[in-house]
Amino acid sequence: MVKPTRVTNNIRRLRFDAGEMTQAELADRVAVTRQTVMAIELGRYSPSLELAFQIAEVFGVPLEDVFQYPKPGE
Amino acid sequence: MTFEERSTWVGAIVAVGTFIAYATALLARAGGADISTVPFVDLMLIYGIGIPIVVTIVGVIVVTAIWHRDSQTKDQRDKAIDRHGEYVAGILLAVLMFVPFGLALADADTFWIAHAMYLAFLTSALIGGIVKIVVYRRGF
Repeated sequence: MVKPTRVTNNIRRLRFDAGEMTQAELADRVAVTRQTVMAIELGRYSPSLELAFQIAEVFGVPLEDVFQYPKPGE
Repeated sequence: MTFEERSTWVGAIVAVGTFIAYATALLARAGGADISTVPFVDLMLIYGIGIPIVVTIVGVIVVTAIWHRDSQTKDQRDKAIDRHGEYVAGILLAVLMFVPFGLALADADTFWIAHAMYLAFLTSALIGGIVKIVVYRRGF
């Protein structure tokens, strides 16, 4: 069975902080569909490393401010 | 729903619909007689190959026209889901192909060998499509 990603993210808050950027706007900026942005936000899809860096670049923050991964034991 | 997900739905619906149409046409032609004696090649070519291709193309065109504002590009998530579905379908097809292989080795009638192959292709395509839809819905 498909196992959802354990990667968490702050994309929704970052979009809000960036002038309430829409999912569609972010999707256009990183060349994916709006549904992919939504899936990433909801933790249903773990993006490629390149896409993760592109998203961080859009918000002008380091990668770890956008995505987090639980430490062993958490 | 992305363009790719909609196209997957179209493929799955067409696969089921054309199979039902084929089975109905074959049974009607048999008319209660031994089904393995019924000429099936023309029906299989029409319902198993011709109509599914045409209807799928038309269906995708219709879906594209209805949701023309949505992006029709295939992004990395679409490609990953497509690979996953095709991987499952490929494994399933390889396993199911043992049935017609066994039938051929047992010198079975062409009717049964052809239908075992047809059902193997149909089932693998359908399950592959269902896997993609589930992954689109539940996450990847």
